[in-house]
Amino acid sequence: MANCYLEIVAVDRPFEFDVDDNGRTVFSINFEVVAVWPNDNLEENLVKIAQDAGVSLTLGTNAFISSTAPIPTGDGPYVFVLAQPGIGTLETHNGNKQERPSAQVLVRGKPFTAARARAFEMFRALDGVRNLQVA
Amino acid sequence: MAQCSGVQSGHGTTIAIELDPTGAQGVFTTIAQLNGDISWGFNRPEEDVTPHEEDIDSWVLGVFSRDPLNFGINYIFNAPTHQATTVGSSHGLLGKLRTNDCFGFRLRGPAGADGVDEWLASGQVQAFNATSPVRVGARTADCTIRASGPMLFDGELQD
Repeated sequence: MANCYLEIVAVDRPFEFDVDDNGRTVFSINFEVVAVWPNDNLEENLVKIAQDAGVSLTLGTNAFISSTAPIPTGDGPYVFVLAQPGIGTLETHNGNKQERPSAQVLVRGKPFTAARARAFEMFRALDGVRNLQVA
Repeated sequence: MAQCSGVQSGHGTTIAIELDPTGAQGVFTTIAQLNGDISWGFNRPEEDVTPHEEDIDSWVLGVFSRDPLNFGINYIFNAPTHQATTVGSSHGLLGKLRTNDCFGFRLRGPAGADGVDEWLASGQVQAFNATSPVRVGARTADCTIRASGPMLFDGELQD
């Protein structure tokens, strides 16, 4: 069952990670994910889950996936969703599998308060998601 | 691609049960979502028969005995092999615990087939312990089947 998530759990609260070359504050949030195998679209699915929860995101405009996405120069806030390796797959004897990737959400924005607000929106939208099939 | 000879991975071992023991015999349904290690032990109880006049021990072993068969599942409340309902004559594990059904069950190795790497027995569900984690983890259950009476090891009768 593709795009089915047993759980998305934040490992930490949003924290100030960096200031980028454009003077924008960078917040980071890390998530652990358990998804029914196969799961090939984690990045897009996390954006979609946040959109459905009311976060104002448009992929390619203020939300981006993968490290090849060009970083805009404006004040943002801009959300970047990156899949991380996670840990090994859970299996049953019957062949059922659960993949366990992790994900990092970076938010770049100016001023600090705008970046922080968007970071907490993403945190609250994604932390604690359970048993969700993304359409 | 051929199977390895000799040592095998244990992954793919299955347990199957007769959902409806009142129906045709030997109709097995594999229990869904078996997680964790599957362990089943066999033994013979011992009796110390050392006589007073000897300075070394002697033992008599008793009848062939089975440990309870313990296994875990990712619990799905309405899966036919898990469910609690007792309506009709096909019952899942929790339903069988409720009704105390005696039924046939089968433990098969990863490449097992009829009469090959296969243990068949009759028994009853003795325990069903369900767990719902509050934060992380699937809903699971630990189950126990107690075997009773004759059984087959790779088609050979043990009675």
